Amino acid sequence: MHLFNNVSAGDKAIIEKHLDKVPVPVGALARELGLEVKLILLPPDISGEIRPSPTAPAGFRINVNRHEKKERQRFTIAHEIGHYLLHRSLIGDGVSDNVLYRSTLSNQQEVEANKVAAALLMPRPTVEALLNTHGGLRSKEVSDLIAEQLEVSSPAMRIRLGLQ
Amino acid sequence: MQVSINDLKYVPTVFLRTAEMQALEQLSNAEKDSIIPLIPIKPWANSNHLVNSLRRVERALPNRRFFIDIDRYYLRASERPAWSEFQALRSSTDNFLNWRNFADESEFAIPCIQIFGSQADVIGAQIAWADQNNKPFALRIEQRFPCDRAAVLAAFGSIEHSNYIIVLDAGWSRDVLSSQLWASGWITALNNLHNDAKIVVSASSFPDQFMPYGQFGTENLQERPFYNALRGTHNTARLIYGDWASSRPHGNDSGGPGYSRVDLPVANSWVFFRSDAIGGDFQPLAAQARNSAYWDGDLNNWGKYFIDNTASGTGFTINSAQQAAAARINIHLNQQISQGLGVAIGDVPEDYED
Repeated sequence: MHLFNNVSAGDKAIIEKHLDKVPVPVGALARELGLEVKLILLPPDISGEIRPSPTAPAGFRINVNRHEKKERQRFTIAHEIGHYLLHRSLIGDGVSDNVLYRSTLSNQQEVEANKVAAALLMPRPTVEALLNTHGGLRSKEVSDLIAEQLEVSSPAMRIRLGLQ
Repeated sequence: MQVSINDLKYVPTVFLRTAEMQALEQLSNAEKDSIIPLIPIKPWANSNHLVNSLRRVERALPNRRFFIDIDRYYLRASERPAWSEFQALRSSTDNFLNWRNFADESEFAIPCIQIFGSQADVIGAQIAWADQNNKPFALRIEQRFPCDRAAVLAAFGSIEHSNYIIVLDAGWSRDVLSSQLWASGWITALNNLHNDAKIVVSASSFPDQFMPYGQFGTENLQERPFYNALRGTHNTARLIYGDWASSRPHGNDSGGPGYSRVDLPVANSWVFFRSDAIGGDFQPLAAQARNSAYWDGDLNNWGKYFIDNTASGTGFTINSAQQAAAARINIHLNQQISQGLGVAIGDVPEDYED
């Protein structure tokens, strides 16, 4: 996957180990990468952030808005993992992502983080296998069923399946 | 680490409805760890099978135990298998084998022994099954669904351990205090047999009519005074506070859209902000709640955050009566958990759990 071209072999191995689980345990994945993941009170327009942390083995902590829905929190964690894997040199004092996943980083970098999030939460082989268990039909109803199984939002899964 | 059955301070009865499950799911980990709620089981939403009811609770309370009983208020028949599976739970055949098998479908479910319509031998057999399987259990005595008192006491008297709780559920009423005699009689009888029995005293007084309040009103909870009165009478009993998390039984809700309302639970009362029109916008009601003297400004819990968002029109906002109920129930649980612990559960960062 070209998205992960610049990711270290060690991190890639950790990612691959978690991708065959349904749903992907994104919190455990982050922790194994050496990141801390905390639920905290954030302003209503902020979904999450990644900041330096002296206590995290990898040197960064992901803070997630504790009051958002589980599916949303999972996407936020995966998105912040994307920033860690691809943009850690740009994080500086911290990057906060608003509800539209916009931050002080560039749109291009946000798009990349979203792509990483989709790849981590909705791995192609897993999505195809789940599609087959539902008869292989790419319908909105099937998409919603798979979204529930993978604990992602319906819109995210529909985008992944090219339905919208 | 979830509280042990011996250290319970609050046992909410949380019905298996969308608002309740959302409210439960949105509690912080610390709050989830401080309670073992009692969930009356019924078919979940449009699920085909009843086991999905357990899965829904497990999703709201990951890796945490919960008590289950049969929801005797739920009467909405359907063509789905879940309805016939639900009906089958009531069968007393083989000492409620269907119910016991259902309880075994979740490693986190602590079953209530089925006492409604049961004789002492059937109650005793269920207790023996729980003991053989090293399961804790609950005996839920409901005022609305009378049991054979002598049978329950005979079976209860033969218990030789403390791995259980009793739940005295006075049910829903706008005059909960009138159930004191009923509850007191049970506490005396139970304590005569086991003076260390853990007894939850539960009821619900959440109003069913809001017209009298107009566009603003307050109402005192009757559940705490009910519990406190019984504690005063039975000062050596091990009583635990319980309520219905500010809800009413099925069938008490009027159909169709009503007057929009935002409810704000505070320590021992509810504050209602009500629209003057059917289907009114929730934003001004949330703004009234936020601007009122009852608002403490602390957004440490999801329900208040939800109301705050709605008032500001930011992030996720309340757009339905069901969502307003979820906010109320979540705040109510937070308030009562804090009272039970004697300390407000504040906003501390928590480790994320998958």
